[in-house]
Amino acid sequence: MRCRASLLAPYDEGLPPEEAPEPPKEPEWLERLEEEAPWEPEEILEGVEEEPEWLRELGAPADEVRVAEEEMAGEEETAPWLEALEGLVEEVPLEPREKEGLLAGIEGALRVEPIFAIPHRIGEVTVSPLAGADQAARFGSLVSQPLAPVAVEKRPRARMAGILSWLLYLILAAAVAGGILLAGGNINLPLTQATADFYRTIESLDEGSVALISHDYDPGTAAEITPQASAILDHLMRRGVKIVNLSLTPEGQALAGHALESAVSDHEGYIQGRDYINLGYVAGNEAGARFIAEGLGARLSPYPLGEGVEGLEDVDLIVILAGSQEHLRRWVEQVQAPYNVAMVAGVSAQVDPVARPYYRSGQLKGLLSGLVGAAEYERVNHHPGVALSRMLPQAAAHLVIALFILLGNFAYLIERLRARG
Amino acid sequence: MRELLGTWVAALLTLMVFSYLISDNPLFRLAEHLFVGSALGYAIVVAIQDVLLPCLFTPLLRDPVAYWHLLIPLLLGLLLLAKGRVSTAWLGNISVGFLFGVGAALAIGGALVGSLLYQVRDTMLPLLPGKGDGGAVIDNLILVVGTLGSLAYFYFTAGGKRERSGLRGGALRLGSVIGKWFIMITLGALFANAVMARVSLLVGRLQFLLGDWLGIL
Repeated sequence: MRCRASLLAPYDEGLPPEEAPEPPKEPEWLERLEEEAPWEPEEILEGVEEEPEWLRELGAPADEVRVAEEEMAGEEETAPWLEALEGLVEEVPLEPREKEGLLAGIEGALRVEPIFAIPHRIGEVTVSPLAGADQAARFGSLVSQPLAPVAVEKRPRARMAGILSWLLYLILAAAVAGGILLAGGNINLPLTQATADFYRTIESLDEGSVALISHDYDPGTAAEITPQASAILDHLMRRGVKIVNLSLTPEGQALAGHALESAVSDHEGYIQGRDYINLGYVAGNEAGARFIAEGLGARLSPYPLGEGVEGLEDVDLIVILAGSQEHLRRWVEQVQAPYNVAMVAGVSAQVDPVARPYYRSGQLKGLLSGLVGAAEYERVNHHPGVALSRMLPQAAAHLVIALFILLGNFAYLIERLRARG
Repeated sequence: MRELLGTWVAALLTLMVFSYLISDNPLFRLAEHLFVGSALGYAIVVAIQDVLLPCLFTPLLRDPVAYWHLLIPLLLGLLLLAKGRVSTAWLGNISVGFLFGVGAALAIGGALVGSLLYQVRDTMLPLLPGKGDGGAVIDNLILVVGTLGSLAYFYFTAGGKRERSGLRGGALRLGSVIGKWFIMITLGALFANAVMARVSLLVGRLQFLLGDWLGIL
């Protein structure tokens, strides 16, 4: 109690007598603590006044220090700049005290609830008359003056860096354009194990099996995954597999629709509702994937395709086309692991390092990675398409980038050697 | 005619985005804003057409007695709108709490069962030759050493000075050095794959410009 009163003293003394608040009532838990405390505060503070050993070693006589402190305390002089501020600065009001709850009696407690539960809004701004209005006006006049044109001389090194960047862009564009113009469909591409497993999994499906394809990508990764989707749909339709198309992303729905329309136009026997169905966008992310797993039978029941499909256990294969790792993980974690269904995935190249452990653990039966994966699939499926035609420009671009990395490192090494002298 | 117009619009927007290579300019910003605006508008239309109408409003209007339970998500959705006003924002907390609760429960449970358990099991591999071929043993060894090293690199509570200098401390230090290299290689692979994905995008766009737009191919 005494300690707390002494802490509050400077604030209370600074207030005019009529505004001085009543001494705060201690919260119950603090009172209880004081009653139960085994020692009195005086006992704890015993010996504190004594001069510590380290101070005695320093050789500063305690009496001298005390005299100096008293002298300083006696000085009533205030700095002129501080005097000038007097009257201009408004007194800072005390923070409100908590009136109830565990924090009762404590000042300035930060209220957490308005921070995250109530949206912030900019309040009315009130401009109080400034002490330095003259200075502000002078500053304003200085700022509002038009800038005198200053001739900036470009350093030759910076100019060279700009030219080099442009040169890099041009060489990269030329390599890609050249690759596109020269590209053909007969590229001898080695087949990776993951792609071969993907192909074998679809090849093992019987006619009339049901495959669920989720198109979870957007235009940013469509350049890699649309060729994969086309090649997979073509293979499934050649095997006579019934297809359930859907997407957990709004953008994926349109891309899935285009891919399906394109594949159906190549396979005339496929009839909507009987051989394939597009369920469109399924909202809810994780909950959406779980919703499909739990309620697929109900969603398919109005269509002839749904005959015999009562749930996920009647789906023979799930194909995930994922543009980001979240989409892939969503299906593996919410559907593959709990329901133990066969699953393969086609992913963007940037998702490959994350998808690879799932393939290695057997959760994914096969894996297509990026445009290269699509090209491999087109080749093994004997259906050359857009992915194979893009392999030459892709390889040319990679070659140019690798060359520039080597050149950059070589230049850096020479510069470092020169600096060392 | 519609297809031709679409091709021209797409080609011009592609060139506007490429103009960023020169510098930040109004054409690039126009294309950027158009992209953001159209993506948002499209998402709203899809949400109304594919979610709100078929899953909520149509069944409710057709047979409110049979689908009375849909009033609960409708109410939760309406409560979210209360977040727009400061005075009524607290009402939306119920919906937010429900969303967070369900999302967290699914995500945590899924990560544990679908990722963590499988990956831990898959790291328990034979390291001695005999049962498998030599290549598989080397592969397993790299995987186990890489996993342990990466874990050691992120082990920040190695204890006091005496513990750090002991055998355990030495093993941790060695593991963290190995782990650092594995992490660097992984980050390099991630970056290289990201570059490969972007190059695929570039190839796709240039193929579109040269083929569909200019008709050279």
